[in-house]
Amino acid sequence: MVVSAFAVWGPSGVSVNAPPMRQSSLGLLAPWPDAPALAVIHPSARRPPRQAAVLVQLAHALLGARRKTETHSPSEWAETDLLLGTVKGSEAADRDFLQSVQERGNGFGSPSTFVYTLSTAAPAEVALALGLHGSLATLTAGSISGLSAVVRAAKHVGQGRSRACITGGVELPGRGQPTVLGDSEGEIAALFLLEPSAEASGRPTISDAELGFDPEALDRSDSPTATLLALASACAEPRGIGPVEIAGRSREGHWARLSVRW
Amino acid sequence: MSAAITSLGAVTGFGLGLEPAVAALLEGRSAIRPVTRFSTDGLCSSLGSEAPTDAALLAAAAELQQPPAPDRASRLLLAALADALRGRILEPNPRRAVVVGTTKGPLERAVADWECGVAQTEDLLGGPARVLAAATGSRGPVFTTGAACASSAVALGEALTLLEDGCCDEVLVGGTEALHSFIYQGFHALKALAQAPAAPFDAGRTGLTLGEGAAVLVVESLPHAQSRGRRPLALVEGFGTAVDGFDQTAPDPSGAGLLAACRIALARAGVKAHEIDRYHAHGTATVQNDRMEALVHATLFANAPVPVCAIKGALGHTLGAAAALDIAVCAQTLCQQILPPIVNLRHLDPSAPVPAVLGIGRPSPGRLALIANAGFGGINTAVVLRWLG
Repeated sequence: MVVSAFAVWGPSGVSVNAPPMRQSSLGLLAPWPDAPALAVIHPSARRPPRQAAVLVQLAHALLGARRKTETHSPSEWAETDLLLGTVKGSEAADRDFLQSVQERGNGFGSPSTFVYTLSTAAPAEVALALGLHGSLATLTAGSISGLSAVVRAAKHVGQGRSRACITGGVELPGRGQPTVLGDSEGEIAALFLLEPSAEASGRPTISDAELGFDPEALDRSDSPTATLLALASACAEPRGIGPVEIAGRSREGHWARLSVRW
Repeated sequence: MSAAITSLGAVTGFGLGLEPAVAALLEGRSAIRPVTRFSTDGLCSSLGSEAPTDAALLAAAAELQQPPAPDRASRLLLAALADALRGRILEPNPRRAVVVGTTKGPLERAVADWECGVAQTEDLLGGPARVLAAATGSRGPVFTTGAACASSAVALGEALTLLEDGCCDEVLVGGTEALHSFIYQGFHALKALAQAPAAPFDAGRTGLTLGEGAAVLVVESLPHAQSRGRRPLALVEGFGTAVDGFDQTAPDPSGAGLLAACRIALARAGVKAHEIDRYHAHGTATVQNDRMEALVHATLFANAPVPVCAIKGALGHTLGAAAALDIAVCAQTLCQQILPPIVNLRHLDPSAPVPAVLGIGRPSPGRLALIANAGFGGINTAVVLRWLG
């Protein structure tokens, strides 16, 4: 299957179908002055939290980049699946809800915040905004949750179970918390649109995608940022004629790998 | 591609084990009682379906010879694993995967850290899946799925695809959820909790009751099971999922998303709707869910009286574990050729008219079941099970 479009938002900025900016700064996502306005792309949104807003804006840019070249009807895009990897999940909303209970009392937690205390709430906002009706789920496998989600999505698309899938990873704990399992990494949201090979020519293909678990082999731990940026970089430009292997391990023993070939 | 369920285990508000839970369910009993694990002062309900104590869970899992699990969701899962294995030995295996569905997993550890101002540096949510992998020497893919109250149905869906991809011979599918005041306060805030025990499809229902529990399903490729002489309890013949795209919390009243999920599952199973012998409903006992499901049932089955079962009046709504428990109970009762009743349902809501199974379990010769689940975010799933006889 092919990566027909990709979009990355990190502390150094946003890139769409282009090499991701070198993440020279740490911490929160960089401002995106040209971001599509939520009021325009998701007019029915009821003040979604930051993680949901980020995903909606980035997914809108992702599909916008793809639609410049696509010939499908909007109804065909409605079947697009969403499978995102996250280890931090809904932590920011969780902490906000807990704070609302602590401040106001046992029976007075914020209902609008509680709605977003699920890892799937932010991607669900993408489905609501963009009119997607395919599958929707998150996947967690340590710090390589995002890369692992791409591996599973690649299998689904490659085996014909999915017409198209928006996949990737998102780690936005907010509040200035350590973003990645103690590593000094910045926040990251990276989305990849996977489609069957016949749907897009001249785009990188993914092959040899595998997951595994080996808790005894803890030779290294890779951050979400490192693995997702490596994948985006490989998708951005050809590097010679051979495939580029993207591999990652978490400190708990999860591992994932795939090959990107132009 | 069909996959074989060859072992089942559970922990519920009825205690340790799937068989006692099914027995109680068939008698029309409910495990919903006043919550004891935290204060419900100031909340609109005081009811829940609580699983056994941590000490009982640890004792139940002792035969697995594992270190004590660090959180309740993992302890529930290990106790369910012990029930599923019951002497069956799983050797370390690189072709065995573990996929666990949960919404909040080890939430108590996260909350404890946040309350102390400690930043988490661990993957807590993935902990129960790794505990299951460690206990079984599983070295294939190990990951956790999130899909709100359909999380463990999606875990089963992923298991099917792992088997179909050929990278695994067997997958341990888990669903687990521990009751925590955070969750209880949240559903209170949403005004979703009932003051009386949940009564799916009942005219007098006032909302859902939360519960906790876990289920473990050992799912294998059919050739793998047959080559080892294991008789499938049931075959998983189809899985489907679709999103409403309607609202974060309320289901699409038209039922379009759930209907789509059911049709995908049926198509993948190669089964027509009229062949289904029982519909195992999500049945949360909220007005919105029950009406939506009644409409889906009427549409899908063209108003045919396909019997409707639902377990949340007995076990409460166990969120991320709900689908795995639904599938486990459905498979077990298919094997017993009996339909479980909808506990607490006495007067069918005329606005959600379904051919419900009332009172106590009743014999049924059917072989095919359709199991539906739905969750926040408009996520819908459906599973087709077949009993081989």
